[in-house]
Amino acid sequence: MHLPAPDISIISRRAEIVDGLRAILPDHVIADDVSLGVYDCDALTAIRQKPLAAVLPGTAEEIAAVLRFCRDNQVNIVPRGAGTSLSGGSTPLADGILLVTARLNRILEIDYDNRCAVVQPGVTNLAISQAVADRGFYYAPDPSSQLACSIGGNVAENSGGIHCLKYGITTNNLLGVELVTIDGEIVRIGGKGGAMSGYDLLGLLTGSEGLLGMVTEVTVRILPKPQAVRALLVGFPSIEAAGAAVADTIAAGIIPAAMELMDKMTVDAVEAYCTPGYPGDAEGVLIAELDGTAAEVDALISRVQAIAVARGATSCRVSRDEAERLRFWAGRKAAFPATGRIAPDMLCMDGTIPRRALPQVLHRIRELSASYALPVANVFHAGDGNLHPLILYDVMKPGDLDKAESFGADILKLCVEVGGVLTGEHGVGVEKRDLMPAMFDEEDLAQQLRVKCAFDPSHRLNPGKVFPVLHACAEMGAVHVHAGQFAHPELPRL
Amino acid sequence: MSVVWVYNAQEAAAAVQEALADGTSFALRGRATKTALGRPVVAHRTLDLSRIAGAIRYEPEELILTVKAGTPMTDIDMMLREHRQMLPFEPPDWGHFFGEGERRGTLGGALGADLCGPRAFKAGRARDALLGFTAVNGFGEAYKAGGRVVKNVTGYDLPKLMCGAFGTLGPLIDVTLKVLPAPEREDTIILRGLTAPEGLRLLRGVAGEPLEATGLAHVSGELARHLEGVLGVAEGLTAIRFEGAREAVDERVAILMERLRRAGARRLGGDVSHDLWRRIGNLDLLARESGIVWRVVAPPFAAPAIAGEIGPNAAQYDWAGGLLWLVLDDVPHAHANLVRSVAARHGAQATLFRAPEAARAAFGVFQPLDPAVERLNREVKAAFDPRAVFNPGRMYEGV
Repeated sequence: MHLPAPDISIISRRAEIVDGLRAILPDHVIADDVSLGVYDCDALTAIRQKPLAAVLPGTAEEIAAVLRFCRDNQVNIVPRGAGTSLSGGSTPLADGILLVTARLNRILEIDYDNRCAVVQPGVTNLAISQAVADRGFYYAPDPSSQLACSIGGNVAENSGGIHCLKYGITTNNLLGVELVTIDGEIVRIGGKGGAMSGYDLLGLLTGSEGLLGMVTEVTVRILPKPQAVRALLVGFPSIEAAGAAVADTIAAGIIPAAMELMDKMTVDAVEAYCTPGYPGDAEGVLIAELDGTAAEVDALISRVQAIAVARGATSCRVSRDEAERLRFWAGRKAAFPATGRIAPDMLCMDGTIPRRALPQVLHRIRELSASYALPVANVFHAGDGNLHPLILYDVMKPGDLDKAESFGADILKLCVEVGGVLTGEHGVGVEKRDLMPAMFDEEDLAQQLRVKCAFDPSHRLNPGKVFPVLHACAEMGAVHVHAGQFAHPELPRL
Repeated sequence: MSVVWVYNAQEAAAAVQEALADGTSFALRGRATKTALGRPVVAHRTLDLSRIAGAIRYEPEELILTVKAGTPMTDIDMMLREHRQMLPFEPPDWGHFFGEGERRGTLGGALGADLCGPRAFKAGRARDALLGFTAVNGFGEAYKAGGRVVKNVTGYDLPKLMCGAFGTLGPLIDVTLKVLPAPEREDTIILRGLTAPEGLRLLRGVAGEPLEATGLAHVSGELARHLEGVLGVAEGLTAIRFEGAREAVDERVAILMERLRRAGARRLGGDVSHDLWRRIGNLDLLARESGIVWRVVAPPFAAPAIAGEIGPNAAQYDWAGGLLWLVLDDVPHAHANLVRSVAARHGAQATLFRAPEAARAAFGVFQPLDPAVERLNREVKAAFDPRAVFNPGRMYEGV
């Protein structure tokens, strides 16, 4: 895991670049060393780097001016929302400015007639749900960081969350965006009606990790809150038995709102941290949440309960009221900080596997844990096969970080080997960039790079993320040259 | 037009390389059930993809289906039904509507057109179900994108781009889709005699309640009369569908019936309900009307105003107003500009959905794009197919 070598020719122009940016935004360019310390990393804290400058625009027009300036002056740009990326999506670059959306923090419109909300990108995920709560609505995707993470970052990373099994991830809940291109053009894509003619650019932009443009406005779908929500807390003698119960539930045609699985190490850590009352004797603890109308939830809860018992559940509690349901969740939601307390440092992995491969993958993770001599706790979005092994290490111990990183890489390669993917919801960023070839061939990556070139031919937006190698765009479109004529002679090419 | 038949990705890639070498283009074809949708394609040859068919891997317990893209939809239905599963987006069969015969289309064609039915406003469109694919691009290379698991954010979400691209970015070869358990039960509540604005107000109300309706449609009297033999209905028909576990459907229907009984609401059981929504999705009622058909995707609240300003001869509203099907006289020059400008004013997108070839060529089919968006569309096209080998002009001139 490392950042690309910075371009010294950009760094040497720093004073001039800062002046140029201040001409656009006199009061919102941060360039002193101490203040920049605040921005030296996102939630992937293993990599720290101060940006060339941090720029905090307040309008789409200002963002457009900044992007044009950066394009014309060959300055790299790293977009940043709340800085909660776990994959280093907003890790700063020494030769790039950090373009921060923190000041774009207004909810612009709530349109109940069309069941949507129009917000600026710096609005937090949870703030959207809170703004519509009094009318009984909410915004469905709920990443664990929802209190802090911004909706713009959610769009960039195509964020998931605990309830995405039933309600989908960001891309399934997004209706439109306003995008500023690297050329400083302000473009509307989609809107309150959702689908737009032409290619599904909205779908493409979602999860593009800040490499294609800057989102300056977001229109999301809001949903009526379910009438009833209840959760089951189930202890299993083995994590395999818990996994089997999850498979049986889905095979029975039930899609719970959430199904979360924790292993013993996680359960012990959260018990010590916030005593949610998880069964101490269980090797695997499952939380299954059902929502809908009251009779429906009661019926489905008893069906899932019967499935769990048939798979050998050693304990099974159904939440009797909202307070108890939240208590069930308190432990799961505290899994990261709780695990963080039993070790000085933690690396949170994020692969997805076919659920049937769970026993095999967990077995192999245990073997790897023994051979690297690093403990690992497992948290699992069991319904959709999204695995979060938390690798515990101590950065003060020489070699420990390298060991943790290669342990993590082994886990992700294992996920790909069993038919899964490198990242289920955290994004590629810097963290998994060099693992991309484990999942994609040269042709696969070349096609993705051509798409990148269609939006940002000079690779100014978030370089060093996602792609292991950034080829020059002219090279990627080699067929243009062979053909003797360009497909679109009117368009500028690199 | 000569036809090139290909059986796999390698042959498709080789065909593209030949086309690149001699500077020719291909019209892509599965089973040719939707050639009347989109701008007319003028290409040197046809690339037939219907032989790239068959199941690759179906994992019901993972909710994942991987098949070759030329697989007929009827085969997919059969496979899924055996495990009591379904495609979430409820792909309609427009074969009859386009006069190409029923039950013939392929999955690749369904994805290319981003087909989706009445449930899509809740469960997503085809683009929400396509998880990964292999395809051949206009460089004559086979490549893959996405993955074979339901949750994946590795690399760009190219599956989204391929859905609704009408083949202009190249042929899909293998595709992986998310599937869902089929509902244990479905029931529909119908009301008769409401005007479109009244019906749509009711539907929007239901959409804003936690009842999880999976069908919210209103059919104008002119179209509903075609259902007279089935439902005894000859006036405006408003329909609300619920699907899911027995207890869930019973409870939701009971809640709504309680409220709507006095207005004359009727409950339709499973088979009758299923048949009604199949007709709505497949455009069976519209198929019996002559004239031009426009498809308008809109913010739901704008639907009555859009229809009011356009004044169609007949209309079918789906997705609580988010999708309008409007029948107009067979004189597109008289209304193409009107429909598009009304749509634009309301943040909607209008497609000249059923019209003679000459009209589609003259007026274009899809909502005109803003210049900046149009430029991005051209750049995306060039990123996949710079020499315009695939379906030249199917979506827009040059795309």
